[in-house]
Order: sequence, then C-alpha cells, then structure tokens
Amino acid sequence: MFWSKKPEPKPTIYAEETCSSCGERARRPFEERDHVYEHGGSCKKCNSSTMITAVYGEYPPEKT
Amino acid sequence: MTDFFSYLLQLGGLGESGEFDPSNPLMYIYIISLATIPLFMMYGQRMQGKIVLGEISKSLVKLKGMRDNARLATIEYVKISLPQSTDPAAKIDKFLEYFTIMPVDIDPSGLVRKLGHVMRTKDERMRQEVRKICPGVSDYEASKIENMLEAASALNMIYKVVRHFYLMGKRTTSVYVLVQLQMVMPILLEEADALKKAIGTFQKGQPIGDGIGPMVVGKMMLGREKKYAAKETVYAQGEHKGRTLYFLKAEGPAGTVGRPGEAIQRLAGDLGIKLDAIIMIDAALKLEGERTGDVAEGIGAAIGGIGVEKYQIEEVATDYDIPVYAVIVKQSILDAITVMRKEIADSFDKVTETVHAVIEDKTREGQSVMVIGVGNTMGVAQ
Repeated sequence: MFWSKKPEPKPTIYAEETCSSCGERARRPFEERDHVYEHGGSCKKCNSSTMITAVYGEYPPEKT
Repeated sequence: MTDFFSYLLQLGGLGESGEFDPSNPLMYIYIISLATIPLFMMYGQRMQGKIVLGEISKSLVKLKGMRDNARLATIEYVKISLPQSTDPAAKIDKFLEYFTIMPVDIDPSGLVRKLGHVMRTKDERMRQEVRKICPGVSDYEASKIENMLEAASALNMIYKVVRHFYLMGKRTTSVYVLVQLQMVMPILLEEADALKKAIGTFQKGQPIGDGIGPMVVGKMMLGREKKYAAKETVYAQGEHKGRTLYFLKAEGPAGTVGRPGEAIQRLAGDLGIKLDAIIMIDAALKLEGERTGDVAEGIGAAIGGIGVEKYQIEEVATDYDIPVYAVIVKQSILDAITVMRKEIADSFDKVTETVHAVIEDKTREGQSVMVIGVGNTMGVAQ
C-alpha cells in the first residue's frame, strides 16, 4: 500500500582485512569474534596473514 | 426567536430580503457552525487532551515493546553464554531497577570529586552484579553483557518516565503535561530506537561509531609495548617526526571507555611525563544537515560523559599549561551507539592525517604529545 511505512534499511556488516606483506585489502561478511587489529585470515593474493583493519556496516544506497 | 434570527442575518448578511428564510439550507449550516464555537470553548481542551493521550498511548506501547525486547535479548544472551546457570531473569530485572543518586550540588566545591566517587562506585557495583549474574565468563563477554544491560536499563528508564507523565496527565486531565510529553516524544522514540539497535551491536561485539577514536589510536599503538595507564586503560610510546608520542586508549576489544582522566593524571602527575600538547580524538554529535563521518578540528577536551573525565583532563592541562586540541568525527546518536557506519570507518585516514598535521603544526621536534582515543573500544583491539 502506498501509505504503508517503508521498511527500515538494514546495514550489511563487513570485516575489512589488510594483508601484512602486500597490503592487499579485501572485505568479507562479519563473523562473530572478528575484532579490529586482530588476526584475520590469509591473503588471497600472496597467502600471507592478514589483519582486520575495520568492521563496519554499509547501508543500501538511498533511492532518489 | 425571530429576533435571534434577524440578529444572525445582520451578522452574516444572509438573505437578500434581510429576513429569515427556512427553505435556505445554508442558513442551518450557518447556525450549526456558530453553535460549535461555544462547544469548542467548553470542551476543546478536553478533546485535544483525548487526541494527545491517544498518540502518547501509541508511543508508550512502542516503548514498552522495545523495553521488553531489550530485556528478553539480554536474558537470552546470558542464558546462551552460561547454559549451565540458573534462570538469570530475576537478577537481570533487579539490575534494570538500579539507580544512582547524584551528590548534593548546593555546595559546588569539590562536587566533581564526589561525582567521580559516585560514578566509580556505580561502575564497580555494576561489574560485580554482572559477575554475579554470569560467574566465570571472560572479561570480554562480561563487558558485552554490561553494555547490553546498560542499554536495557536506559530503555527501562525512558519507558517508566514516559509512563509516569502519561498516567499523571491522564489522572489530572492536564493537557499541558500531555502536550509537553507529546512534543519530546519523537526525540525520545529516536533515542529508544538507537538503544534498541545498540543491544544487537553489543551482543555481536561489533565496533560502534563512538569507537572511531580508539580505532585511530589503536592503529598507532600496533606493534608497540602496551603499558597500564589506569583501570581498563593502556598507553604506548611512539615517535613522529622527532616528537615523542604517547598513545592512550581504553583496553580493547572489550566494550569499555576506560578512565582517560585518571590515566592522564597518573602519567603527567605521578609518572612525571612532560607533555607539550594533548590531542583528543572523539565522536561528536552532528547537527541536522551535517554529514556523518565529517572530520573537524578544534580546541578543548573532546570527551563526553557526565563531566568527571573532562574535568580531570582540564585540570592536568591547566596545572601543567598544556594546550588541548580536539579532532572530532561527526555522527548522530544512532550512529554513535550502533555498528560503525562505513562513512565513519572511511574517515579513518582523514583523522590520522589531521592528527599528524596538528602534531607537526603545533609542536616542535623534541617535544612530547599525548594522543587520546576517546570512546567505547568495543571490538577494537590495539
């Protein structure tokens, strides 16, 4: 219905990982126990270990 | 009666002949519309009161739902964290009713010290209660539960205060009480909604918007030895373009704001570290129309709360004649206590650049600067 309330946008939570040797940045969906500045996973490019450098929520772009 | 009608006709100028014409339907509409005036004069306020009461009642139902959901979410989380324990509902309900009595302010001398004492006692009591509710959990888990309980407690308080004024307005049929409540209701609902969302964020241990300060300083601390500064607060030493830097933040990734005021008193006072500048990085509430994640620079102690920490930092700065610079990241109350928005995380590089620019601009080589990351460090290590 045109008068019904628009559903509230929900953010998608990402964890951003940065490779400690090649500096490659990649993001993936957030998992519990992901903490910023703690060990992430391994780099897809050079297989070195990565560090989580940010955890953030991204909202869908607003329709104009 | 005819006199009355002729009087009406004179007032309204109805009827070309100037006489009452019963066949004209407009005449009756005119009479009815005039009759409603005394009706509204007598009962208008009561009718307005009923409408306002209805609107507040709807908002109150919403607030009750938020309060109950927050309570349930906290109980469920404690049950999941400690599957072997007894039902924590009664203990959590007791916790939600805790209150703090502020010290007397008719004699303002030494008030901040008393306030600090009361707040410290409150914090310690809260921590003890959390430990009683869930014995044996890690500090990290305990901090998550503590933050959830605080949000649930704030929601409970908002609900109870609104209910109080609603019932008082209803009992006294005072439209003035009700209208005042109706005016602040959108702001209260916005705050309650932020608290409701914050519970989910704390439950998952995600960094919140307020954590941008600790996030910037945490990066600066990486790979350096972290030392005890005050309860739940750590510091590290570094260097930038010939200046000695001291980084200070709450100890993450637990959800705590630490005690930066006490820490700076200890470092500058007890340990005798000579500081030439203090730079504080914090989240600040944006004004409507401002963009989330905008970075601004200024002067003064950038720290929220009841004022105790701010007072302690200002005392040290004044006693040792240390200029205090502030770098803030703008955000709304909702952004500050819910998961960090991308726009805020994206401001990271700009904040770091601004801090470095302030260091280079305001101090000379060989001088010392304290960089404080102010805010809740939930989900942010160092």
